[in-house]
Amino acid sequence: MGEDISNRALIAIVIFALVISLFSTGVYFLKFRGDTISGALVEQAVARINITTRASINFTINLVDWGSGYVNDTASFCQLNTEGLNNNLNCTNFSTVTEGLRIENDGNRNVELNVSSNNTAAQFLGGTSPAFQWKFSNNESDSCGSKGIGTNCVTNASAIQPQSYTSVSTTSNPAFVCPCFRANNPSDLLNLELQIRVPSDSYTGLRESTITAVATAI
Amino acid sequence: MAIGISPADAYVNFVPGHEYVITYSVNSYRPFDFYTQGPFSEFTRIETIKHTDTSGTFKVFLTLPEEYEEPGQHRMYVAAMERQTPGAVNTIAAIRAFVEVDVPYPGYYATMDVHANNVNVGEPVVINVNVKNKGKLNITDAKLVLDITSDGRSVKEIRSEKMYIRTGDSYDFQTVIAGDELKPGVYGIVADLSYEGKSREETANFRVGTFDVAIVNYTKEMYNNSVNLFGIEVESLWNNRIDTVWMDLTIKNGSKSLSTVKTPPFDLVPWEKRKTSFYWNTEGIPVGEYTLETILHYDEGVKTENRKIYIVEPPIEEESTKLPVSTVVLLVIALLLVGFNAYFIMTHKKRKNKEAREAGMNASDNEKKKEEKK
Repeated sequence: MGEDISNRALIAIVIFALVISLFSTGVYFLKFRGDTISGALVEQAVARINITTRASINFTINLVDWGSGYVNDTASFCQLNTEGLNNNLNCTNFSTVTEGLRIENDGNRNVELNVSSNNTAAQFLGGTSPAFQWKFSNNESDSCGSKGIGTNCVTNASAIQPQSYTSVSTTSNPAFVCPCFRANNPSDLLNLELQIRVPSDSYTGLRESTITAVATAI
Repeated sequence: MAIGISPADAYVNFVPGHEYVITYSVNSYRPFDFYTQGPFSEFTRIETIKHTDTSGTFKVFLTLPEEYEEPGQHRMYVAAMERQTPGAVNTIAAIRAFVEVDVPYPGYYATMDVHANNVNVGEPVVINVNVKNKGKLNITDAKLVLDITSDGRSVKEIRSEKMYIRTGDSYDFQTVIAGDELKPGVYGIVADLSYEGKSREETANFRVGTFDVAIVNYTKEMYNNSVNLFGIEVESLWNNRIDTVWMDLTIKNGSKSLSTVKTPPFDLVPWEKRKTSFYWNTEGIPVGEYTLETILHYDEGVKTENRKIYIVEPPIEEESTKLPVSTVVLLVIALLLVGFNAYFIMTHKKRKNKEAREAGMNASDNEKKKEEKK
């Protein structure tokens, strides 16, 4: 009995839906012919939007911290980088860092990217033959290209530089890292890997360095 | 740590003494500074409408000087930079928008951009010319002549009315060539602008398409009784996409078919040139000149073309007389090894003989000594 009722109810719903759909189809075709059912005036409307250009960058990873540690007595230096290098024979207690800085273009405009450090290796670490190096790469493929016509980027895998560890550039002479850093997802993310060599006679205490990324709209 | 600025760009003409006001909005995750830098920044002042730790609204007033020596486009930067916070290796993000100031050239100076879209046959061709007055003086009598050319010959000439362009302004000239006036093909536009006793010429091209695909190149020679890499290049002559292009290729001797292949299908975007390559076995086809029949299928179109193809003898390999470099190198190494072995054996034999002789002499000496003792 209950099953019958539910079936009937179902049939009623189907018929109702058919009627509604036939009615709406009729309305659609009448409108398409230019006729109107209600006799109301047909008015035109304009949808308008103004999307402004926005240049924006984001350090999605903005801190590298190898923690506290020291160079072993038997070693002349300890080398660390953001790709997991932590030389245990030479380094004691430093944290292993497996990810460097990440820079994302989260605006709607392609930009050129310059990066600098406020310290050289000697200023940051001191001691005998210290090293403070960086290298850059596309995290998402084709994020960095050459500058094309107008504001466009052109695919160029070697546009991003330097691609191997190179001494950091200082604020007075920033490194021109990417001539055309794309704004379109999913090609808008760059890697900045860091490598340091801490000499056994380096400065002690908390050492800090600041990496500045300047993005300029193109 | 993100920082963004909007608008990212602004373009203004240099009007002596004029003040431009541009409103900027900045968003940041950290406290930030807002400033201008570069050319013309010395002529700006900033009015802060709102400035919190993470956002800001600023008005930049750019009051242009009466004179600026260097003509051309100059970019002034409007920047926002995060303030430093402590950390081992910390980061600061800075973002720069620009205001491009177009400084006029002395006297009369006009630039021009010419553009026309590709069309299909029967469609009108719209030609746009934008003339900019980048000089300090108003241009009062500019005239434009467009020469439409095909294969280096003039097919149509279009003349503009007299144009008046104030300094810093531009004039957009548009003309339309009716769809039935031009046959399919490649056309050139030579735009000649004359103004105030000066002239300037710019060129552009456009194409009128027809629903056709042309064979532009193919392999004309193959070796007999061999598997040959055969290539054929086609070009779309249509200003829309053509779906499903393929070819039936047959080597024919008169009306007799000797070998037939079918290329894999592909699509062509407007005006695309595309080469397709595949292997063709010519086993059983004697050396000679034949007809290559190409039945080209493209979307709903099909056409047959006959071209010449030559089946030739493969080159004779001169292996017996000419040794490859690697074989020569191996031969030299083998000879060196044999020589080294021979030298080693000889020297070893000599040493053994010498040792034996010395041993023999020692033995006879000992015997002599023993006899003397006795």
